[in-house]
Parts: sequence; structure tokens; C-alpha cells
Amino acid sequence: MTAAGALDLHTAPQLSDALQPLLHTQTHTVLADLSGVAFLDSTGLTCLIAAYRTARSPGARTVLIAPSERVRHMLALTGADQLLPSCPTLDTAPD
Amino acid sequence: MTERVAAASLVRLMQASHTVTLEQLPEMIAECAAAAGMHDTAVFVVDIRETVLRQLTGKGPGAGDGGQEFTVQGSLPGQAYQRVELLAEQDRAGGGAGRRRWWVAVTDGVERLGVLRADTDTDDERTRQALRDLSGMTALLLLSKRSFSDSFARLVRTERMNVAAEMQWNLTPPTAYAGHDATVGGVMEPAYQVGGDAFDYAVAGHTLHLGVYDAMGHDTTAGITANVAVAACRNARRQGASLVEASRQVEETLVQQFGSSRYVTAILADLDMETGRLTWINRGHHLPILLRGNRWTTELACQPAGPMGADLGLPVTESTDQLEPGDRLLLYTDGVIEARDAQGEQFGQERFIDFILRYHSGEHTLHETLRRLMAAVLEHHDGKLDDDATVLLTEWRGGHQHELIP
Repeated sequence: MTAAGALDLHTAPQLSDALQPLLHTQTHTVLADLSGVAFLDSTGLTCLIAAYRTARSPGARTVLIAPSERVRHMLALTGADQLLPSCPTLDTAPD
Repeated sequence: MTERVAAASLVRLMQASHTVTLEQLPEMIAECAAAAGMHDTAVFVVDIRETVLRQLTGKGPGAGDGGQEFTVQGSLPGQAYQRVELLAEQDRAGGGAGRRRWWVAVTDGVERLGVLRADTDTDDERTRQALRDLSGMTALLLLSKRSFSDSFARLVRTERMNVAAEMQWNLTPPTAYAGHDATVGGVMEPAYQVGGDAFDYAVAGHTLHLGVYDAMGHDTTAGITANVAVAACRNARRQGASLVEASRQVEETLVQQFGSSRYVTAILADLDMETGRLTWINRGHHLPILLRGNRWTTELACQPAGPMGADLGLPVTESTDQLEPGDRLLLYTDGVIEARDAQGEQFGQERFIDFILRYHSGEHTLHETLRRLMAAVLEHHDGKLDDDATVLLTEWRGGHQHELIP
């Protein structure tokens, strides 16, 4: 799944809609490509946290691909990076 | 000849004030002053953004109809307010020969509420002391009416306020505190449209509890979230909970109320005002900044335990830091440093720290420094902030109680 632009109050519901069905299939890992996401606000973060939570219950996990520096900063500041691992590129992502 | 306002007359004023409304105060104060040789006495209160001083006339819905108004920046009454001083007006036309007009900051010793104007025929130390005494009593009288006066609330507003801001200003303690070797100042913008920011402090014995909160979103629900968080924290604290326990209580309460759809980031801290030992936790918030002297600054470190209400289940770590006398601790929310100007340039952490160092270096008080900081942040953002910006600045002067300058 690839997200682009700003992940905020206006766009977060679209990401939720896209992520949730993926998490309910027999997936082990959901790779969320955030390379095109320049900005993440609190609503966007809530959405990623919700994805993490939904994934955790059926045993799947969420990995963020190529988050921008600002997004990484937001994740580190809140501590969410401790739960949502990031990979610099799609190739380095775990299976 | 001006007599010093006798203690007895101030006590009588205080007693008579018990059963009067805010609207009746200016006349009562003027009568008491006139009996002591201070004429044309008038009370001015400052608006919540500290930009303008408005005369309390007691008339009209805002108790200010027909009153004068002065700007805090660029007027003599404003000077008296900024410097928390007693200033004489030079070369004033009119009045009797030798009559002098005074402007004195109205303060309870910590919080600045406005200024008092009075004319006297004398200019000696007794006169000055009488003016200061009257201003101190005026501050206490205003404070005794403020919490239940809609007129006061109207008088100190220059814009329409949203519901979240209405909640937030009732949630936070007074914007200034001083005592037991510590001084605290708090500011919050946009004052009339604040969403989910809040600050809190409280004193228990020699412990100073500090907290800065940022609830997600900018709507009324953000305001409700912040209110629930601060109330839950106070409730836990007053039952003896530690910082870690209190933050867990907040988390639990928020989850009960909002599922995990609303969260609050926060720094919660306890400062031992006798030893300077700071204990604190980080619930996913911007780290506190410590300013030492006029050069050394550092960001304190503590593993983030996730925002309260997001229910991430991360361990909550308590950090401790030893403050030195004179140290200043900055707790703040992102709106302060992330405010962008028309060119998209952020106000930035460096400018934020420089500002505090430059203005709070003897020239200005802590509270005046914060007033100027927020004016600068607002100006940087062309007068209209998109995000909430809050600063809680604490100075610890361990062992220098007599030097406290609020």
C-alpha cells in the first residue's frame, strides 16, 4: 500500500479505509509505503496506531517504508517508533 | 499633605468589598484613595493577551463602558505594567500646581492584573508606598471577584472566544506563580481559539507539580480531551499517585471516554523546590529544555512512553535531573517552534531559546519575557496561529528566596 502527500485530518480516513481490509486478510506483514508522505499530524498518527493495533490482533504487523524525516521525527517523539518499525526501502523490508 | 493609606482604611476597604460586585470596586477604591489624598483614582485591567489596559468603570456589560484604554506596548501605563513599577507622568497639563499623576502596576506580588492611576500633591516615599499598598489591595479585590464575574471576562477579551478556549482558560491555574524558591509563568496561544493545549502547576509542601499537555486535534473535542486529562491527573495526584501512576490513570480515563481515538501528549514533572531535584516522565511530548546561565542549554532526555490515551502499552520511565540555582526549565508545545511565517520558515527552537535568553537576562521579568515571546510568535505567524502554542517556564533559584522577581 502506498500513501502520498500529507497524512492529516483530511486524508487519514482514506488511509484507514485502505489499510483496514489488508489487515483482515491472511497477511503477516503490511508494508505501508510512506515515501511520498511529507507530513504526518496527530490524526495521521492515530491512523497508523490504529493500523498497528488491528494488525497485532490477528498476529500481523505493520512496517513503514521510507518515512520522511519529519514523519520519523513525529514517530520518535511520541514513542510510536517503538511499535511501528521503519525500513528505508521496500527491498530491505522483511517478508 | 498625603497621608500613607492607613492599614485600618485598607482593612475597611477589604471588609466592605466582601459583599459588593466587581462593578462597584472602582468607586470604592477611589473613595478610599481620596480619603488618603490620592485623587482621580482609576483601575485598569489587562486583556488576556496582555496587549491593552482597559479602565474598569463598572458600567455596561463589560464593566468598562466610557473608560479609557492604553496599549501595553508604547504607553506610559504600559511601561508601568511591563516593568511592574510605579511611574510618574511627566509634564502633565491640567490638575493643580504641583499635582502629580502616577501609574502603578496592579499585582498580587506575582500575577500582573493591570495598572492603577492616581494623582497626588506630594512626591515622597510615603506617597509612593501608599500607592503601592493601594495597588496591592486592588489586586486582591479584583482576584476575589474575577472567578465569578462575566463582566471581568468580557473586559479582558478583545476577540470572540471559542468553546475550547473557554474551557482551557478555566482549566489552567493563574498564569503566574512565585514562592519557595521557584517562579512559574504560563502562556497559551491562540488565546481565543486554543484547541487542545493546556498547562498545569500546583504546589504541595516543597513539591512543585508541573505539566504541559497537547491533546490531538484543534476542535472542541480536543479541548474536552485536555480537560479530562488534566482533571484525571490532578485527581490521581491528589490521592498521592506518583507521576507514572498518574499518567496511567490519565491513560485509563481517556480510553474509557474515547476508546483509543483521542490522545494527549504531555510532560509531567515534580520539582523539589528545596533540593532542585526534577523528576519527570515523557508521554510522547517535546522534550523539556534546560537553560543554565546565559549560554548552556540542553534538551533533557527521557524515553517516550507514548501519548496518554493511545494505549500503546509502552513502559513509563521516570527520569531525574538535578537543577542548579538559577536554572530555567522550558516545557512547551509544538506550536511555539513550528509556527511558520509567510515564507514557510518555522519560528524554530533556536529562536525560541535565544528569545528567552535575550529577554530574561535581568532586563525583564519571567512573565514579561513570556508576554514578549508570544507576541513575537504571533507576529512571526502574521497574527494567526494554526496550531496551539503553550509555554510553561519555571525558574528555580534554590536558596535565593529573597531575590525572587516575579
